[in-house]
Amino acid sequence: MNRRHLLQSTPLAFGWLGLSALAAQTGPAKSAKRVIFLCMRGAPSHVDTFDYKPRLETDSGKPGARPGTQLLGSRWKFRRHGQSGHWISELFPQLATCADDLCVLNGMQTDLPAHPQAYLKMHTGSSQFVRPSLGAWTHYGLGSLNDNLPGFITITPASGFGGAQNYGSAFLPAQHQGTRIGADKRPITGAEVANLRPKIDPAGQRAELDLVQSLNRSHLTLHADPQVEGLIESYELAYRMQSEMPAVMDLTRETEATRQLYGIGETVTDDFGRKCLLARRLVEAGVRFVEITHGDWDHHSDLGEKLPASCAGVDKPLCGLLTDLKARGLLKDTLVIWGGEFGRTPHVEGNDGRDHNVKAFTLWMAGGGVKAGVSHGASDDHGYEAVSGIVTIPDWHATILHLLGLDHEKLTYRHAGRNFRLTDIHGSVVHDIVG
Amino acid sequence: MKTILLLIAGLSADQATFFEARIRPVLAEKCYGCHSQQAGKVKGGLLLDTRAATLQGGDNGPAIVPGDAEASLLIQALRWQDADTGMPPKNKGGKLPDSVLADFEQWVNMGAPDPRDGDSPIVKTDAPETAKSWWAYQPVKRPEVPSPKNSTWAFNDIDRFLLAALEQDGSEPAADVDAATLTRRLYLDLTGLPPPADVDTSNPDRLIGQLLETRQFAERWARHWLDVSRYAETTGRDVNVTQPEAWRYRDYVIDAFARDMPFDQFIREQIAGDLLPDSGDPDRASKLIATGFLAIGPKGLNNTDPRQFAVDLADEQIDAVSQAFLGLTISCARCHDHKFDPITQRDYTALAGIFLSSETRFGTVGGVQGRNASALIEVPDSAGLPILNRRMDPSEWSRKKAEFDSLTARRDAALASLRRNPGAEGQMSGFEMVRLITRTGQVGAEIDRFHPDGTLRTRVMGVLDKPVTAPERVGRNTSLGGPNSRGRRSSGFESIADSPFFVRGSIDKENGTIPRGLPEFLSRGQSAPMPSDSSGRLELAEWIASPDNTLTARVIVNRVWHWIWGRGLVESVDNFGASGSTPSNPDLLDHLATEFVTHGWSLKKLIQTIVGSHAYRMQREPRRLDAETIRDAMLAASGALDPSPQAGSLIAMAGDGPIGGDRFQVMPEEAVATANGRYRSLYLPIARSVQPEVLSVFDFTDPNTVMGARETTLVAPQALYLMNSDFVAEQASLLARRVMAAGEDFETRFRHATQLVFSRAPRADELAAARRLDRGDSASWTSICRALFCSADFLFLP
Repeated sequence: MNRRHLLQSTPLAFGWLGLSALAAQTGPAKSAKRVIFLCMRGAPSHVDTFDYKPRLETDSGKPGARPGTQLLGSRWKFRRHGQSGHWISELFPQLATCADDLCVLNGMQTDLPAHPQAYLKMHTGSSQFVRPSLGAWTHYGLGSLNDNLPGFITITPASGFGGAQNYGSAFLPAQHQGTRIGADKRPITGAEVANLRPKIDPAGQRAELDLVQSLNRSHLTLHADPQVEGLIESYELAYRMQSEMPAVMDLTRETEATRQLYGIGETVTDDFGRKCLLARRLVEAGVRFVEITHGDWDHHSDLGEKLPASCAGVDKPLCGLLTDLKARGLLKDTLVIWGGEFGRTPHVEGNDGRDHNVKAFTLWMAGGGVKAGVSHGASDDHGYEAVSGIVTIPDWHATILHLLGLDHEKLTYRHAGRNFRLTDIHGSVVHDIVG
Repeated sequence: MKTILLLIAGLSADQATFFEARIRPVLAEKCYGCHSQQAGKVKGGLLLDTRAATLQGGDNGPAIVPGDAEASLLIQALRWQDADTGMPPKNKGGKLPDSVLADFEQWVNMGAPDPRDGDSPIVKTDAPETAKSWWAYQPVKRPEVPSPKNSTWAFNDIDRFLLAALEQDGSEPAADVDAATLTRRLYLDLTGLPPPADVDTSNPDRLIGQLLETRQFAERWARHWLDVSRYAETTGRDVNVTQPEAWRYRDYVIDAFARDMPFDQFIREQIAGDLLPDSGDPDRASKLIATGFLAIGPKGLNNTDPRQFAVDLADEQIDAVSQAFLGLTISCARCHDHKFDPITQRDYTALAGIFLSSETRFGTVGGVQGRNASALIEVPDSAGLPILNRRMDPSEWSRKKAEFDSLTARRDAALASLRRNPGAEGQMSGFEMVRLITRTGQVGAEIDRFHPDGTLRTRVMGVLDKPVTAPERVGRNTSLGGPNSRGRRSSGFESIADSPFFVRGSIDKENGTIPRGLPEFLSRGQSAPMPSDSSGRLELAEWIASPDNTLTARVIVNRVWHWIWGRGLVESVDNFGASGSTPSNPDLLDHLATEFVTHGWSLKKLIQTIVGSHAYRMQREPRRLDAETIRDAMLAASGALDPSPQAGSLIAMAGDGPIGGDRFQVMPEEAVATANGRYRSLYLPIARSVQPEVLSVFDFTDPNTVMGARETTLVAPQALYLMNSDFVAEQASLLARRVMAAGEDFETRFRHATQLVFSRAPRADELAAARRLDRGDSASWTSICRALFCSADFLFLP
């Protein structure tokens, strides 16, 4: 076992050193140190939220771009907000007050109009093959900021749409895979990291662990073996995690004012507010990449009821998260990303729904070195297809890595005889949005 | 000739002006960003910043043909003839104005006069050509067995090769381990279970013979092969639906190891079992199940294009066959010739034709996101296959059948109406349609699983040849997909035929067809034309299973060596190509390969020889146990292990449908993650997206890919699992009860515990350390027992 292999696979466990040398040489932005990815599972409608289309309102009822379809104007009023003048609909009244923090990408495109493929593409860069996830690549590239915590945590991830692949490490070493907290469609309250709670009282456990370590040291006296030293270290690390992780996850340590900022305690926003506050506490404590999944945004019908409900569930917490990160000086090096796997059609589905649309959708990013108050790209008059500033998923991935100081063409892993990348052979950094 | 003269003669003033005014500025502004030394980027292997580099071109060949704009790739790219290669790319501004394009055409047609001196810094190597002399492509030799100076140490020829190498290095063999350690090593390596407390350690050779004949040996070694054959019970990728009959392939592999099926036969059956002669229904069924190797792989069922699905499926099969048996990454040649090995895209296409001529029956539920459902192969009851303990009440079956018929009628009517009159008032909404189609598929799959009398039908996954001529009506709503699908659309590959050559691997760009056949260089041009009335899988299998194949025997003996020593003689066990490793002891590798073939491709004989060597008894660097062994050894020590074979698995019992997901799931991912019985680990459910926690935490294989060597990590989540999980707590508590029953005093109990957990007596310092925890109650003994499970002496193979 050579030193490199040892570093990758042993003691330092979660605290894998990362490829900082690589980052240093390549010279990308390096302005973001950590990521909070707010994943809106099911694909939110862009034309009712962040992509204002006055022509869609006036053309409502007329035929859409797809044969046999009929356009459906948004019923929600849009207004310009802040210095930036971002158009945001009335579905996000609170977030609109943070408009100047947002960098809105209105020219997003992806490949396939089916949830599982698009969701996997968004998370792993591939819908065709099993590949490491964005969080795993990030952790592989940068390592952890706190050896006592997992480096990549995913909160209530989707169980379908590719399931655990979306936070998996595929062929990257297993320590880069996401640690899951909570389960899909269940409240975050009460959720915890697996196996973190000791079966016995602290004194008993310490005594037990002391026995483990004396057995291991006894082994070492007979066979000097770096692996056993690694094993000994892994127990001490686990023991520290056991005490540190619950403390990080304990939201009661926050002031009432902070909790209110996130909408905790209000029925509609309580769950997502808790997830956002947890995400802030996790990145603050040194977790490199946190993903929060919120759903379901797949509004094929009853758009008039379901979309406002989904938006109301996240609006205040999103604003709270951005405000709180900023107040703590964390926003400048924390990249916050909001969006789903694709957008929705400007034409109606059924009486009151919108179908999948991969040709245009909106994501926004904030903090972490992206230009604030900027919007990039545009879709056509009805929001059906992106026409300028088109950003594909590989472009978006390349840009995220760039902001983290990683060159997407150089962040590679050798597997099955060749080098693999998150962006495969695609992707261009969207320099226009890098601050 | 003219153009060459022109370049040598230099440029005329007009030509130089034209280049400087019309061409150079465009190249500099639009192309150098990705294709120049200054930018440090060489996309597609192409530089455009010197004349020489432009003429040399990139991965796809010369960028320009001076004098012939039509034949120049650069011009084709600038014209945006297709979206993949159109230049500049969309995000760099997209296609240039027609006037600029006309300038470039004119420039090329005038001979591409270009004043830019300088060499091309890209050295074109012909790696695949050089690779023809790569060691793995040379015939297997029969090396002479060396005679080491020390003539007494060796037990067998393996020792003679190893000892000779040691002597050459001026080193000596390590000392032997004691009998208890050797016995533990043999039990764990051969059966994946620890020795019983009262094991007789006096005669290792006799023990080896006995262990090789146990069911536990076959289970342990089958699991190794299941890593290679990417065994899993769901389809993975996008929709991840169950493959409830996959376990039959698992049991087939166990049986093959139990019977010591000659490995060449094992190859033939897995690639072409359906095409081999059989001795009756049971044998026929077994050979069909063997072809499950080709059917159990990952597949993206939600692909909207059945043609793309078909070529992706064939690609996955090429990848699995070539890596598993040959240690080659042939599927790298799908879109271009292999970058490192002498495998052309033509070779790939010749193989693709073989698999596209075969029908893969993987039998997944039809439905909206399972657009590419297929039927299974039904086998007669006379095959005597085991069936699961599941029945459906006949009245329930009739009710479901009626429901299915009514759903089908509603579905077909709704689809027809939608096709006739898209967007009209009163149409079913997309989501209602999704529900209807999915519900139809699921009810269909449910009744399809049972006979009308409610007994299970016996069905297997596998592969069959397609017909020689395509069925007449192939279209939507034919029953090609079997009764549980909503009628699969034709992929266009419905009969035995050669594969089109897909330019850059894209199914939209065909360029003729390539006759089915074997890779040209690798088969030494011995590939006879493939029969017109069968796929060619049998010919492929025979070539792979031939003693003359330079790779097959080497690859498998190396895998076995890796599984026993934790490191192969060739370290890159799945890659014997030119980007892989060279053997640490080439003569020993070839000796093992020739002996293996000489002894009838017997894996048991090979394993017996390796573990019967003196080298096997040496002290060595301990290795962490694999996931299954950790779990099984805990169950064995606690006394909870149920060693009996298990038919099916939790997934098989769950039936057809997605694992996890919002709607329609038959089983949540959580149920797989938390699965834990008392039976051996290889019977746990294996889904592609998620595995039982006890396995995944200890570096279980990635069932999406051929994996002859697992990772071994030592990380905090493993420590947390050992310290805090329910499973370990339960085993520790059972073990505590067991050792407390063994005697009254601390020492008797602790001796029994270390015997069960470490297969040895305790050391004095261990006794002293453990005694400090003993309070005589079950809580303190549970703590002591858990500490034993957490310790290196349990977790590491000595």
